[in-house]
Amino acid sequence: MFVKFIDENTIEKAPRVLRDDCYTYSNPKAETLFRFGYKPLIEAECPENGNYEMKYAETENKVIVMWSEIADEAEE
Amino acid sequence: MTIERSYHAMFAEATPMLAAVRVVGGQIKINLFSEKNTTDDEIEKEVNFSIQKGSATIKELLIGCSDAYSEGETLTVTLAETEGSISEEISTQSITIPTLTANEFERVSVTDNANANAIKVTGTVTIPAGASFMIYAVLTDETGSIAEKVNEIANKLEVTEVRTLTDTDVEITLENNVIFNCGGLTDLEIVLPASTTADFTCQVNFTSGATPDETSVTAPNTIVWLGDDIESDVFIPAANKRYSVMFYYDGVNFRGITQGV
Repeated sequence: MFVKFIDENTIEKAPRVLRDDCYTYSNPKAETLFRFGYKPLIEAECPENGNYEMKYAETENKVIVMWSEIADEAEE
Repeated sequence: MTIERSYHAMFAEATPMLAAVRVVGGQIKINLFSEKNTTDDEIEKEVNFSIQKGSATIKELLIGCSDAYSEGETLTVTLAETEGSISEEISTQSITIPTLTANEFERVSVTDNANANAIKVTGTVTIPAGASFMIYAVLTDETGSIAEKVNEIANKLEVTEVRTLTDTDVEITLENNVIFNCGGLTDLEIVLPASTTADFTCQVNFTSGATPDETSVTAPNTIVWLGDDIESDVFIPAANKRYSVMFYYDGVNFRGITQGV
């Protein structure tokens, strides 16, 4: 799945149709998606022990899912 | 686009009339009501019309008066499915006649139903003294019968060459009277010719991929699409279909008519 990184909490799934000034691209291929700022989403499984929340990070050629551990309130 | 003229009472109490017709492109305007008040006082006139629209879509009513109008009266638009003398009402909607400026038509949207092949418009309008009041129904039939349109274009196609393309990723510059036969495609790019003639026609055949989104299509924004698997005016091939796309020039734009089986 291709997505656009918005911020660490938000991604936008690539639409089925993209447009520029001249062309319409339906079911766009990877190179077109990259050109419009969409990258493949690399998912990761949530760790089993502890409480985690999903976060996103962007690299040059992908968007990755990260799991950020939520601090236990009792420890605070 | 065809209009079925029927003088049977499609609704038991309605009297259908087809008083005036103008065809504008893919639209047709049908005069439902046209009355002139020849008195010195305002008069009330009953509106009671039905038309059989077939596959056409009712888009809107055009309402106009030769004098200013601000009564805000209501018309009822009933959609029905009729077969012979049997009529089954599908829905009704109330249309408030907007304030009218003298000699100007106002557009009032109507919500159609895919199952409806007949429309009835009823109500009462108060016509100012000495004024004329008119109501038109605007029908569109941009889709109509795809097969008929394809056949029409196919009849214009004087094939000079059938070109077979074996690649799965193709760029096709449309050529007049040429059929491009492709196999399974993952990528199709359509390029318009540098010049064209009024009777330009070209056909592109291909098979889409086995999974949704597998076949991408890149096409100029100026192509007007019509037919199967068109979403928001964009051709998005579905999976596992054999497509025949007829391209033709309508004098202004290139149009692509898609048929997928």
